[in-house]
Amino acid sequence: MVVDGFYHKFIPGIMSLASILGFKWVETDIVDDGYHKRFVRVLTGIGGELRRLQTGKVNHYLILFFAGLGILAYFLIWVV
Amino acid sequence: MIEPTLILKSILILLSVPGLLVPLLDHRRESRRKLGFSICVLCLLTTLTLSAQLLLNLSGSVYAFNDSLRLDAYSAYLAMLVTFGALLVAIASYSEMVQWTTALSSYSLMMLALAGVYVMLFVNDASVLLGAWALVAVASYVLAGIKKDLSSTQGAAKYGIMGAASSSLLVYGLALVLGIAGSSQLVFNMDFTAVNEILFLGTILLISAFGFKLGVFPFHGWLPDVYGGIHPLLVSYIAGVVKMVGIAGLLRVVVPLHGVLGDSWLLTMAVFSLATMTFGNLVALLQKDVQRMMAYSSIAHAGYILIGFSVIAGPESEVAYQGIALHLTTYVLAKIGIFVSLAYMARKGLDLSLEGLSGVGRKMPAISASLSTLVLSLMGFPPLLGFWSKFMYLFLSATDLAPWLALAGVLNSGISVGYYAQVIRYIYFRKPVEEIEEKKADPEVLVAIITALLTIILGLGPFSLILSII
Repeated sequence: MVVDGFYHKFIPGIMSLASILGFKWVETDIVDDGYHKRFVRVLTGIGGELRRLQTGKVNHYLILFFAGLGILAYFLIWVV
Repeated sequence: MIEPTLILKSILILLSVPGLLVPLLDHRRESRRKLGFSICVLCLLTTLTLSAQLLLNLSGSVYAFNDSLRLDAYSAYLAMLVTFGALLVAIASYSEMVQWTTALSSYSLMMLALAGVYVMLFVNDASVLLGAWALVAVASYVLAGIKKDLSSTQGAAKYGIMGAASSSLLVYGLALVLGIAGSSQLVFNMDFTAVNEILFLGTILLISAFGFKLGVFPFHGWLPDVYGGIHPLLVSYIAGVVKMVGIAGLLRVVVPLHGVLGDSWLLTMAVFSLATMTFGNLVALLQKDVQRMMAYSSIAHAGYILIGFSVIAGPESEVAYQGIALHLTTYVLAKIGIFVSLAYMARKGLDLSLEGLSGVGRKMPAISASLSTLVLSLMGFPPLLGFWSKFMYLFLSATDLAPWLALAGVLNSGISVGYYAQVIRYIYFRKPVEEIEEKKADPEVLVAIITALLTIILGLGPFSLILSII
């Protein structure tokens, strides 16, 4: 009787409170804040910076092309 | 059994002679343009049959034309794949391209470029390689601008200028490497332990030249402007057929030179792979234009394919080769199907932005279902072909030597869901903005359905047949 009373008085409340808080933590803090806001914001931010390489001007593309080649050659011939 | 050399000779004649003669027809008459289309399709169909025959007749390596070409089953499969791709694009072009006054030149260039791709896939000699490279390059630059509108001309000009830079690097690279090798043959019988800076530099120049054709970061600058700016039908040819030149170059010239880079080979190719797939996927996330989004997706897929090349010299070499062949199959089918679908939607007056495709799923069920299937395959959704090629072969091949690269591939695939899913969301979960109708008999719809069905069917198991042949 005592155990049943104690159980019915406290456990469902604690469990529902824990699930609400846990759900809120997973849903709000991890999924919404962590994934939707921060992770996606970081990815699209990096993407936005990288997109600036795509200027539409062929001389910029050639500079990028030869800069990449130069870095590769320097790295492989003189560093490694 | 027919001699493989004889089959290859027949294929080259079949592609080059009609390719040179078709433009002589009167381009002002629609009936002549339709005749040009029929000749092109007939030649490509015969070439496809012959390439299948070539694949089945090959056992081991066969040398042809004074050892300047080396035929093997792997390259023969890739040749058959691109021929099938070229045939699909030619069929899809019937409604649209036949209306262009430049149609005959387009068919001619398509056949000549394919002949060049064939030679590149089997090449074993540097002088022949330069000829084939030039043939494909010039044909593809002209093809890119053949619609003669502003964006096509701009795209073709950028492609041509960047292509000229990469061609010069190819020539320099070959000169440096072959000068030390002492022979124009691409079988390098030399002591790689005694390599010097000249050989190193030559190999690096060759990697960048072929990397340009594949759209590898940072040699990719031309790709979004060409794939995103010219007519989608022409993009489907450049993405599905011409791109194979870069793969052929890597397989025939650069992979045999992996000993020059020694232990740095894995790191070099892995860094290229990582940079390429990450750049492609992150920038694709921001695109609102579906054609441009698919252009960046092509860059990302070049990165995935480079995972296979990173470990191609290691103990998982066989899985890497299989992964590259399978993923090329996924890529060729998907890119041709997707760009042909976009060409069809553009012909029906749709804007190719995400908003413009809103609710297309209700108005154009067949082409929307095909497009979505192909997008899911590129995403790596099971059990479609893209899932097997990407996760079970390409990424798996890297798990021993470079687990971080395999993990990067998986993470990049996760990022790519962000933009691939957008396409499907707009097609199926938005209200239609325009009244349009689909005709099942349109050739573009037929081609899109064929590519989607093949992606599903091959993914259900028969892809192992491909692996058993190559």
